[in-house]
Amino acid sequence: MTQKTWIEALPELLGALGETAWMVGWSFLIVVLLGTAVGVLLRLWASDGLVPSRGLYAVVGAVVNIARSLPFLILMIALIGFTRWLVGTAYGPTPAIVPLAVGAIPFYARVVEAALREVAPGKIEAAQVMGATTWDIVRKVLLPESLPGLVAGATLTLVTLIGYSTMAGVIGGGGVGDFAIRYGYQRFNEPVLLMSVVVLIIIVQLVQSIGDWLVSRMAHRRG
Amino acid sequence: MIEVTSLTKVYGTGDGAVTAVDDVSLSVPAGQVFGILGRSGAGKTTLMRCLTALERPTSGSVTIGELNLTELTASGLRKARHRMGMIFQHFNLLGSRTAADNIAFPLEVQGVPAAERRKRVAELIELVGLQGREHAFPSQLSGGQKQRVGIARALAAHPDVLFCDEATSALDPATTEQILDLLKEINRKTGVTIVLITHESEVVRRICDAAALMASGWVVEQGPLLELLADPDSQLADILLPVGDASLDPDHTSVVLGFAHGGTTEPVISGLTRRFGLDVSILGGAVETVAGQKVGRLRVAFSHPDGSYDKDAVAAYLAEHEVSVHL
Repeated sequence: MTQKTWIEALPELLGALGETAWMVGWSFLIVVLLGTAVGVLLRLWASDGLVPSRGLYAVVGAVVNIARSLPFLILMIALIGFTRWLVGTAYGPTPAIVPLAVGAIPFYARVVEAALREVAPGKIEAAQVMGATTWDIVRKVLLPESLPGLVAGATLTLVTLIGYSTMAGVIGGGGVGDFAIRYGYQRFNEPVLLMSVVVLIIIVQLVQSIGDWLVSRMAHRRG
Repeated sequence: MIEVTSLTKVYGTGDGAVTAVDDVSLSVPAGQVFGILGRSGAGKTTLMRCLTALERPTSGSVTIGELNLTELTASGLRKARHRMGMIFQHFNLLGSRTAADNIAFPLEVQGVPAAERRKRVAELIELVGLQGREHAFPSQLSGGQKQRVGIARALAAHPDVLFCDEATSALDPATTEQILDLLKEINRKTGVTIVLITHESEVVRRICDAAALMASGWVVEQGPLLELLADPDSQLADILLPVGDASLDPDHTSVVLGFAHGGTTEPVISGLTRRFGLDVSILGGAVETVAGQKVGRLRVAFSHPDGSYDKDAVAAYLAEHEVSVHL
């Protein structure tokens, strides 16, 4: 069997990249939405939050910590049954969205909680004295005021998701990880493996640079 | 307008309990500028937090207008707060919003339509003198400009009361004067009641109609400023118009004369010498315009060549000239 050259493997790599973009894109969207929601709730329920609740904070905090302490590979395998129930099958790029989202939501939730904690209490009190509801404060004070931190955290999460997504390849999730395992590990085609590595590096660099640029643009205006 | 009755706020319990505000009663008439003067730790911040219901008092009540804040539900309290404005030492503006959008915040919260908000914001920008800076972010504004945004924001929803929490303590002296004059002007123009807390006597002297002095959680004194200044024994007057320490006078025979209601325009001191043959030494004194009136305080020592003098006659003479003294 002759090894494919990297040019011959390129169309396949592009296809794998498409799969990666599919699972990372959807899981990122879900993570940002649900992670923000969980992060906001944790901040509100904290002992110094707007609606302190020791019980809810402890329960949700514990679930978040458990999910975060599992290595992604193990979480992914542990969720196979859940994924099959939800999507109908456990293998392929679309089912991979489930463990990716579940794995990153707790991470992003903590990022959001920490970013919201940075909002000066005086700004929240000012809004309270103006008669703002808790929902007004979340929407008009907490989230907008911590936006640079949220975007920085989302960038970090996106890079983490790209990393996690390659592990989806291990259980047949497709994408760049799957591609790298097939060429690099099963066929020892180093030039092609190297190509996938270079492409991943470029993608991560791009994501990080765009994130940094967004953050600095926001921070510049706010000083 | 504002009635505070036996307000007490205790933090913690048991041996670690700290009484930040101790049985405070205050009365602020509508339309007045009322100052609460005290050093840090005197309890004035806690008092103000109770006035704005950011803190629930341990006992006692706060009534603003006809509403008893301590009895309101959460939504009732939000409505009551629509009648309040507040400005802060560190401004507490939202960094993610322009000056105009910061000012619009309370209107948004109260559901005022966008067109109306824009109109009101334009009025307020003009009222506080920020024309041309409406689209600047707080980070692009000076401290004085930030406080102008804070004042405009606090006034946006036409409040009945404006609370000022050390509003000028982070500003330089010239800016402090401008902001104080602006507050006084707004009080005159709109009739909004202003309650301010400060550790700077200059703030009280410059704009207040009435004041309270707080120390260790207590209100030591309160009343209309002119009455307090005319009272030779007033501690607040001694802070606002210091006349030197009685201990500097070795014989402890000095007395404080309080001049208000025009007393400063009469040659009272030379009158004492002519009529009673008294030698009057001035040990310390201050004369200022407060609440539009010239008021003064003098620490003087009387002596008479014969060794004694008719205190009652001197007191009567001084009273006749509206100079207060305790001989």
